[in-house]
Amino acid sequence: MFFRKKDEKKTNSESLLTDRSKLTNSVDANIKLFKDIFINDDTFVVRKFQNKYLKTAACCVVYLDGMADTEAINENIIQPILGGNLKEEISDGNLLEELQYKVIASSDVQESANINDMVGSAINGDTVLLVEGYTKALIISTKGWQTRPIDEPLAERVVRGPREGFVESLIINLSLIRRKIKNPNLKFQYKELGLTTMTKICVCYIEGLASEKVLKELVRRLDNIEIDGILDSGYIQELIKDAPSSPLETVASTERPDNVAGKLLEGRIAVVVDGSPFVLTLPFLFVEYFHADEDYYNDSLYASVSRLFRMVGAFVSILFPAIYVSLATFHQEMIPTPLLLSISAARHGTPFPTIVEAVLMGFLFEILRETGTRMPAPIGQTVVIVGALILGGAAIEARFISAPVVIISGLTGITALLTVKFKSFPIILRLVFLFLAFLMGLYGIIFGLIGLVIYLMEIRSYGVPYMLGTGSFDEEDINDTVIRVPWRQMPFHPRFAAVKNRDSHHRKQR
Amino acid sequence: MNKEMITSKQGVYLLTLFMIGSNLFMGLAPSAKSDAWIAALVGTLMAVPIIFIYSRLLSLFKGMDIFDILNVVFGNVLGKIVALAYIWYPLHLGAMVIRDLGEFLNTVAMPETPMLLPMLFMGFLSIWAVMAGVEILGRCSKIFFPIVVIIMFITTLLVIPYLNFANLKPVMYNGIGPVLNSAFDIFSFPLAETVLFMAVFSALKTDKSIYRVYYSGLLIFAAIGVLLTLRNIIVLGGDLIGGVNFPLYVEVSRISIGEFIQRIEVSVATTFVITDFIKVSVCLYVTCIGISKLFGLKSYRSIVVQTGLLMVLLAYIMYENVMDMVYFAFEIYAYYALPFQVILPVIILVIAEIRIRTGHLPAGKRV
Repeated sequence: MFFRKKDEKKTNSESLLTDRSKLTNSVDANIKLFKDIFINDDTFVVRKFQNKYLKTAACCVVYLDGMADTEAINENIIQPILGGNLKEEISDGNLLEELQYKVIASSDVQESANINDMVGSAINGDTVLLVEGYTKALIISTKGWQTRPIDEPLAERVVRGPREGFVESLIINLSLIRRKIKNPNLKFQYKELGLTTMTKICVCYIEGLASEKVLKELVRRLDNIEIDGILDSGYIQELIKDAPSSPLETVASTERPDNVAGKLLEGRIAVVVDGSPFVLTLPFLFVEYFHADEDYYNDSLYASVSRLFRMVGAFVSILFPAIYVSLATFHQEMIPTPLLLSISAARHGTPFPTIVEAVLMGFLFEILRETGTRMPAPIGQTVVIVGALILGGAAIEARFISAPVVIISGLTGITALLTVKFKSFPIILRLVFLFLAFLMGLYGIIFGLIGLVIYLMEIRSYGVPYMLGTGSFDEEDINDTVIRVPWRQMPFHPRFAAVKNRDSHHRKQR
Repeated sequence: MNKEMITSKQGVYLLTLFMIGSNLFMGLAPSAKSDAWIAALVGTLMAVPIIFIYSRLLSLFKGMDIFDILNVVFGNVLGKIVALAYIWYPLHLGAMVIRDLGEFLNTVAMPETPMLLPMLFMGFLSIWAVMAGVEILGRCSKIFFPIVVIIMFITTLLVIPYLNFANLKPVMYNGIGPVLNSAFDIFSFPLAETVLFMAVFSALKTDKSIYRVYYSGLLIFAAIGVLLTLRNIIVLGGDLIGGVNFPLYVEVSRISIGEFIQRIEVSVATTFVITDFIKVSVCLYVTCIGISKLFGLKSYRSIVVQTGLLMVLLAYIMYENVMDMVYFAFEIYAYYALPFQVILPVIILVIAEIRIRTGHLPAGKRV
């Protein structure tokens, strides 16, 4: 059914684009043409007017209310044409060209005979100026819709570092990136995606740094996208990623311009989508899950330690319940005796086997987390109180669940929040490892880890191996992966995502 | 056909992990008792010439694996018949290694879990890895190698309190005979098993010579093997080494530091599982490559699952019990493997050299 729907949409929009007649000489006929296109659209505005001195200069502006800046239309288009002495100013040449050169006060004016362009521009907030006697029209840039002010991004806060975040407007986002990298080699290429929404997206990269192979592959994948609407960059992120069924991302998203600028300097490519404050960068490697922007602004030792903690956190959040289950059920001899005694005392009288307890508590934590995420802040606190105090405490006191499991799942949940970018990955893995531990104890976990290594090794992000740089102790590779070396030892951003030689690029620049 | 490439470093790691395989845990040359470390040294020396033969063959025919070489040297029909030997051998070897793991987990770690379960898991992992390709295997070994070395290092630090150097004496009490005998064991299991890498190293990026990769692997293994054997003897004593099936495991299980670090034999078992996995995967890979070359298949990937399951099944029905396994591994295997490891490669090399000298074969074809 989905496919049929898509086909219908396609034919609809195709007919929209082809079944249109051309502009005629008469303004009234042209207005009728536009009215037919924008039939039933009440935001469509038509304003006819004429110059005081030159009666032949009969014009009409066409725009969409709300998308265009009416003040700009009044002051820069209507007023000069209406009030100026065009008889003196304009020689009897081409009125359209003369208007463009001498009268209209706007930085971006284009002449067009293509009605599709005019409709598209009008939808985007531009104004179309029709002139009596001409089959062409002027498209004048008057975009002026409201946007959210530039704010600190909620999800990626930093203590140290720039506090601006992307907004929903493509142009503003591009300017935020451009302001970080003032170099003519920074390229922006527009594309339009989404058969119905016609969302504008922009591919940015630094020429000479970004790998052409990756860029080509990205453009190929973008061109292959067939979807009716794109409302957020998440759509594109999912459509262009490698390993589509994997819980791991191979395309990153961020709200921070400094992050994007850093990635561009590393030779990566960014995709900005209109209407979304989340900018995609690719290729995305596994180690980047553990990176934060602040790592680059704080001193390198602190950054490296934080990164290591994030990795340990991910490790704990994935493996701890499984390790507990296997220790408690298979390898009691490994637990030091006092600890074993207190664990068995806590387990005394609880009805469920350890594995059931662990799965139940993990499940409970995920429910609480999901509830807390979407709650308004004041209610969120209630969730915390009910979840932590009442459910957790009471469950232990009533001997439903043993205390160690509650500790373990609490620890698991908290450490999972160290690397929020992972999303579903640790949740799924935790269950897999719990199952393996239940089957074969620590040996099951070892089998699982080997499988995990194979799985991670298999994935490529745009031809770049996902695990590039990990597991190797080469000096060059480790610069900005598990640790971050001081900047004076790393004068250029590391370049594992791209293949070209940075030094030559840098020399060329100078 | 081989678009996938492994770097020479990955090749060395892969080779080393393969050699560490299951045998370090079954003990190098247990029959030599307190002289096992000498046997390990002698065995390594014995492996030097045979590894020269493997490397020589590979560098004569660059970019070709053993099955291509057989085809070129022996012709189409005879080459395929000999290739059967190199399909059977890795299949059997892989099954033996899987069985080692099964027996290990069954006798030592988890007596109540059916042996088939871990064996199936191992088979599944290997199938997965081989499906992913030899390049993935190489990259995996790059991660696994440091893990194995670090675990060895830490356990060595932890057994320091248990060192008893008197265990080394007397040196060669029974004369050179048993030492040479055990050295031969070590030569055939695992050192000369690297004959299988003649089917893997065709994927090697040849920026360094093949000799160097082969000999670095041998050197690293010899260092690890001799040191660990020495450690085993010093901690456990020669008699115990000869008496238990998994001496390394027994040794580490004695560690108890401050009532807190105790019974950490799982760490050793981890390296056991990892290196076993690498060994099984290499065996499975070679078998599948062989079968696909034999029948002219486009890709070996279509037969990995079947072959892998066959390997697990073979492992399951191979021995009656663990004594059977130890008997086969230490008494029969060395002679059984001789044709695959020494006789055939020597014959291939001799014929190849003769045919190249007489101009029948261009050397270094398909560089």
